[in-house]
Amino acid sequence: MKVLPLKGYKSLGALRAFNVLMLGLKMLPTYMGEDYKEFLDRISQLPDDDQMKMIKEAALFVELGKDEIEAILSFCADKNGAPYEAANLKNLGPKEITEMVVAVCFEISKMKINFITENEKKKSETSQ
Amino acid sequence: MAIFRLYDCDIGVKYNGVDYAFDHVNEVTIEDPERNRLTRGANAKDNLGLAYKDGLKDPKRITVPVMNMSAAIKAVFEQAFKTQARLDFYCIARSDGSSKWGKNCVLSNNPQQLTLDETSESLAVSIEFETFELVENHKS
Repeated sequence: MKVLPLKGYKSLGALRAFNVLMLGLKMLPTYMGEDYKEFLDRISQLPDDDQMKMIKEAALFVELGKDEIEAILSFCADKNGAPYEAANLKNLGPKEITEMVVAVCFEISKMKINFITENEKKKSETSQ
Repeated sequence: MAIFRLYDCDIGVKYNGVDYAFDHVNEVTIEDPERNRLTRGANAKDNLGLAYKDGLKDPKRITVPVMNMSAAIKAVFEQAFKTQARLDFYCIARSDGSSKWGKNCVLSNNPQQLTLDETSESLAVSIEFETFELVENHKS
């Protein structure tokens, strides 16, 4: 599954949708006991295959809105090279949509976007 | 009823396994040049005449102005026009599933916005298909 470059204003929508998925996943009974930050840190340290399994679990259980799904799928292209949008995603089944959500969210998960920088994080960890 | 009502129809194109559904279509125009014709000798002795077919070598033409088409999908159709790729046009009645298909169409024009003015027509990109296989299925 080829994921298009995560650029443009829709990338922010996709990032928010990814966060909705992760927060929703954390709220499942299995993970409810964990702190959200620790939960995300733990996932980010998992091997790629395990990360994708977690994202797939989120995609299967967490409800996303139409706009959020469209924001994510807009970073996948159909066989003719057109990014998915309302016109060409109507006949997609849940399997195809889930695969695309997982592929795009996996790419998003590689982006390092935090309220604090990696340096600040290290400093706070060493001072504790 | 052998009638399609536009407000009851899903309209779109299948190309290379991908379904492109058009949400905003104002009209679908179909021209079918196939004709049954009659002729007879100029002496006019026979009122039954001789039947023959005309227009069989000319394709059926489907014209669809599509409103609000994205640049990415327009680019897909432009590519299909350049490569003379085959597409299937469909118009399916939501109420009973009756359908009208233009199969193995080619795009006969480069999809483009034909009008730039203040009216709603300027929102449309005109797509024209040519096909020899126009099929209708009526379910009720």
